[in-house]
Amino acid sequence: MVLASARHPAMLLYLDNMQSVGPRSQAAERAARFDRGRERGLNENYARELLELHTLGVNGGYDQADVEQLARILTGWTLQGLPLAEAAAARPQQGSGLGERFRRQMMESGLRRAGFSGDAPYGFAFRPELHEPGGKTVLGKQYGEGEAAGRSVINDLCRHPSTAVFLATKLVRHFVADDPPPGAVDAVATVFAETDGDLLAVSEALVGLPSAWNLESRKFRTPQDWLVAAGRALAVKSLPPRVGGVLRELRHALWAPPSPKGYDDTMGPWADPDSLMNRAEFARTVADAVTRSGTDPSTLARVAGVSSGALATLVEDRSIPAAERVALVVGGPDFQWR
Amino acid sequence: MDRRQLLRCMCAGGAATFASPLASFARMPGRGKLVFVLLRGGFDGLAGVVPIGDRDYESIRGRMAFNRDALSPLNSDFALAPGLAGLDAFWGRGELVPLQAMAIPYRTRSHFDGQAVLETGLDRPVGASDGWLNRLLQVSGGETSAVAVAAGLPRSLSGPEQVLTWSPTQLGVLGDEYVERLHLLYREDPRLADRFEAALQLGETVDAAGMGGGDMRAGSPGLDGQRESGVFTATAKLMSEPGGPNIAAVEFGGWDTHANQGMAGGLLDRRFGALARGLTTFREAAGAMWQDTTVVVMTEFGRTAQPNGTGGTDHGTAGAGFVIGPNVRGNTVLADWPGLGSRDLYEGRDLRPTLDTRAVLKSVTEGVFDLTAAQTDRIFPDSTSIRPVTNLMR
Repeated sequence: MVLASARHPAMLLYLDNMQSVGPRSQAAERAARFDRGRERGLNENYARELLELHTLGVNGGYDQADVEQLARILTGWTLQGLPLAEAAAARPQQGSGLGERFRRQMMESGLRRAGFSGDAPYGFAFRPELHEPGGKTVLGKQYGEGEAAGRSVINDLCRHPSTAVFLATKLVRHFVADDPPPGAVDAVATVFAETDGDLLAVSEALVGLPSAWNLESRKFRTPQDWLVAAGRALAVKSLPPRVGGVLRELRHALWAPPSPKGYDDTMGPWADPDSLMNRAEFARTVADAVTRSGTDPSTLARVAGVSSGALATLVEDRSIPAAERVALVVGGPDFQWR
Repeated sequence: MDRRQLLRCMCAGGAATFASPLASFARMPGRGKLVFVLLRGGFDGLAGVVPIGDRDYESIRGRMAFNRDALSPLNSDFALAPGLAGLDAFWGRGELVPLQAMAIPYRTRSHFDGQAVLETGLDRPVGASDGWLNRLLQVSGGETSAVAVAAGLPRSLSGPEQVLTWSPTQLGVLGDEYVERLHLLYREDPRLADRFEAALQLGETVDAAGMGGGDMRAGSPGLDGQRESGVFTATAKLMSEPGGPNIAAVEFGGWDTHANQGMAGGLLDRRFGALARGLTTFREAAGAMWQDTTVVVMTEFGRTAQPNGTGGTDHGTAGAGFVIGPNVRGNTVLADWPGLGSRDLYEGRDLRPTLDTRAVLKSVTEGVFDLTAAQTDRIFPDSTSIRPVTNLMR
């Protein structure tokens, strides 16, 4: 999966690896001869995030030299279909400029190209001209030249013990609790290491954790989770047209995480006072619409697992309008947790 | 029973699980108050703080160059746009410092990256996602608290320190039974009760100021100034409550004027007018608190020096901003003016940056909160080489 993401056009573009050029590569040396004005060279953005966010984790035991060496190994990992001159001419720190040109090209060439897949026409390409020659050392291990060295180092990073712990921590935080219990992390990390990163086995280990079923440590639904849960509970057939705006208002815009680290996976940034009110307001708007088309509060309560307590009483209180009873289920506190 | 009574009953009933919800967020505020106003979209600095003294101004702006008679002159070099004439009163009192040729430390023309850099206070759009205002809360050691008058939590305030958020909503108007029933339900949830309670209290505070949240949301977005005035009045009311927050983040969108930004009375100018009215309203609503308040207005980037082909401007580099309040050294425009000549421009198209946003923010936070240089270096990581501007705060 890491290798697939490393080769994916979106990743190559997002974290700039497509414009990273080996300082002693053929392309750089040719450019130095013919076009002295332009600087080109290494871009370590992707290499750093590969270590920090996708494998070892920030305290996983690598240093700046490892980042630079890894970036050198990954030079030449770029896109095909993009004129080489453009990739080589792109200056560091100007990713968005090149990105915009790339997007424009994609738009100009229409859907035929926008729907690219696999290696054509904007797929992954290894360009030897951009690749830094010579051996490199990452985390104490020697690697040679060429595309194979990149595959090899990515495989090694995935098997690093820090990677097992880092990914186990993320998974337990996502599925079990904001503060991952160390015992649960250990259990999942052990399975990850023993099965050589078999994600099915890891998923089974997660489900098998007693703490995964602990009601005390339920996870607060992110806005996207909450909207999807509401849509499912209300058997909504299609997303309402305003959904993009609602997600932006709840600061959880689709496909636009605030940084390469992704959306926050704890309740802190999502459960602020105003967001609770915004959810309540949106719940009422949706409830008005779905109740008109026949949603029954009691059915909804059953689907949402409301069986006792104050909410169950309110749902059956026919002196309250049906739409409001639906809104109380979706906008109420219980529905904010998963 | 209306919500006010409900709140009183709960407090009288000694609902021990939640003490005063505001108190659970707010701590012991010092006197200084800071309002950070983010104009999302990149406002056209050359159309706001107009460089009338630059000999290339008319030629480079072409048909979008203002007639001098329409402007409010600040000095021989700069003038305020017609829409910003409302800020003239601040200037007259020595409470306004316009900033020019200012930029974030990272060269980008992307809204996304630019706002990320401005809001995190970092020098690049990666790394920690905590906001600089949240780090300000951290370094001031529990002596400050903050509110975002915005839908949800802006990135500038994201981070480990808990903050309040409030935005206008159709809910919470007096006697809304739905909200009262939700309130009863939320009281049963130990992890969310105080947050919902805080939302209600903030709404109460704003309602007590005689402004229904619904009016604000219903107002046409941004151009008549109703929304801006409402948001700024709410901000002033929330901050001036006893124990209220001393930091506020406020934001307005709609500044990305690629087309038909217009001249006096045009789209951008009316937006300026709405902003100026909002700031004026804030000063009035702040009352005695104004004496301790500093307002900073910034945007993620300036726009191209030349107009584009559709009567607008495209994403550029350096732009303008404002620092406002009785504690600024007014009557000056803070600018190391780079010029608009073709060789002066950054990459031949944008105003060249000569002032780092962090140099301004460091100076303001040091002044408002009596922070040391070591503390502001923690708020803005990797910025030790960026010293605060020295001639901004009293």
